[in-house]
Amino acid sequence: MENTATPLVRFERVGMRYGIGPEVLRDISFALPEGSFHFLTGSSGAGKSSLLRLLYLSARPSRGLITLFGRDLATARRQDLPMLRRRIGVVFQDYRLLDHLSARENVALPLRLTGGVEEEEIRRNVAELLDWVGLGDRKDARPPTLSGGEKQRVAIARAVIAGPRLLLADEPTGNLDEDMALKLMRLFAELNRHGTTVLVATHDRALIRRFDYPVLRLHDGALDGPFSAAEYGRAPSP
Amino acid sequence: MTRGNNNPNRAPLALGRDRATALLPVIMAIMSFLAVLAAGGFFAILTMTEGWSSTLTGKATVEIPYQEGMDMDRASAEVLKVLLDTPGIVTALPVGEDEIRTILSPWIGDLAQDELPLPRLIDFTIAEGQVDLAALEARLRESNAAIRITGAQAALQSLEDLARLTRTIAALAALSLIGIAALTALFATRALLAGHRRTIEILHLIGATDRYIAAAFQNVFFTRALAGALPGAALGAIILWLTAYFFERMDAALLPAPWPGFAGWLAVALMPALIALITSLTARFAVLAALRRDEE
Ligand SMILES: Nc1ncnc2c1ncn2[C@@H]1O[C@H](COP(=O)(O)OP(=O)(O)OP(=O)(O)O)[C@@H](O)[C@H]1O
Ligand SMILES: [Mg+2]
Repeated sequence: MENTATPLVRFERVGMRYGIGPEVLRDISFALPEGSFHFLTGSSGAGKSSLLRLLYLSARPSRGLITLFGRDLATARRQDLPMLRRRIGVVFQDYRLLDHLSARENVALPLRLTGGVEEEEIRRNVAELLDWVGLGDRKDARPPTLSGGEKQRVAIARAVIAGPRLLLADEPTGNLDEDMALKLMRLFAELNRHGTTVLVATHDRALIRRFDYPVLRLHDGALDGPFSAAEYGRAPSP
Repeated sequence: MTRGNNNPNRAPLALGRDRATALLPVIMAIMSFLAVLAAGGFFAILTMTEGWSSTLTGKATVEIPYQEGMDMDRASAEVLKVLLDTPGIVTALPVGEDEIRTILSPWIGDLAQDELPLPRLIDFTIAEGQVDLAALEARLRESNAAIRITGAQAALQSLEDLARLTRTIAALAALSLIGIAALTALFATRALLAGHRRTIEILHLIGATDRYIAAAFQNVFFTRALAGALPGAALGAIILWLTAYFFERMDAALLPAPWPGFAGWLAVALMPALIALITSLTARFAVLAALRRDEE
């Protein structure tokens, strides 16, 4: 067990760039304590998705220090990445579903990759979760035949099915109607109550006001906060 | 392996029905057909030469042609000494004059035999495979360039040299074919990797290991290569059998029939598995190397 005082995620003066381009993240420092729930906001192009990429280990920082699950990521070798990633659930902004698999098989993927879960149990959990996100009658549909909101819900189901320790969601409600958005946010809140650390990137101010979680704000590659939802509401919008 | 991988409709990496591997069975069928012929040929030649050595005794003859003004007795004695000094030669015996006359009589008749200059012949026997007749002949010719070694054993040795060369070529051909199978797998793997880049990236992000990805490739290459190599090898085996069968039926055949023998048929039977194994291992390591390279 890690020391509870050690945050689950820590960034210290992190910078990031794509190739030889300009830094899209500059001097970012923050920490996510284990079991916390944060919003990550900022205008389009501010670097929200880029920051999440660092966290789900799809990009490396150009400078600074990232600690994840108490481990310095600079020391992580390629063969360590799968085990780290299996503890992270990600809702990608562009869903990233496998088009040749049904919704059911897409959601089952994390359980199958980890192994050790009975087929019967996988089937039951996946069906239950798909019913819950309102896709009970679309279980065998392939992603290309699903609407944007339906794909988003499949992506969310896949991110949470294996009970991740860290949940990263990039605009998870962008394509959902208000009722469904609220329902899924409550799912995240429920997971959070059971110990999952959650970071949700969104620019939906209504959603932020409704759920009273601390807010991190990216502006031009730099990070402010955390603000309380009330503070954030008063802050001048960039 | 996870159970989802066994069902093609549920395999996270659906590599089976892909243009990059569609031709693989056909190519592997051809490779396996040719490799079976080469390997079968290798063992058939081996059994044929084994047949010769065991049926023929190690007898040969040194012939010293008659030369005007030469001391034939001395020449004969010199050759005899060389033969007896050569390790591996068991016996060496000059052929008597009467015997030479008997041998020659069908050609020259009984007329004027006394005036006819006779060659000298020295028979010798060797322990099997222990004397290089070509080298021995070269040594004897140092003193007299007209000397030559004749006899079944000498003919057999040059045939054996030829057989050894043919066998080497057959073995090289079989190995090259297996090498080409591996190269084919390498290029097909690269095409397949490129076509499934997005899926592989997603699987990685969800926590798939490189070995999981590589195993999916390895499986599909094994089954596809085997699907082609089995019928290819079967056809090759039929052709080997027919060749030996009809060779044996020919009355005029001077040589034993080219049956591949037990080792040969075993090599033929193992060829599809060998090709499938090499193909799939090539795919596996090509994938692992490419994934590691991609990271940089
Ligand atoms: N793959 C990439 N290569 C080069 N530049 C990129 C790449 N992805 C993003 N960028 C750049 O990085 C900056 C931050 O992009 P990012 O996607 O992180 O923003 P974002 O906050 O998620 O925006 P949005 O709200 O529109 O999703 C942008 O200027 C973008 O052009
Ligand atoms: Mg984004």
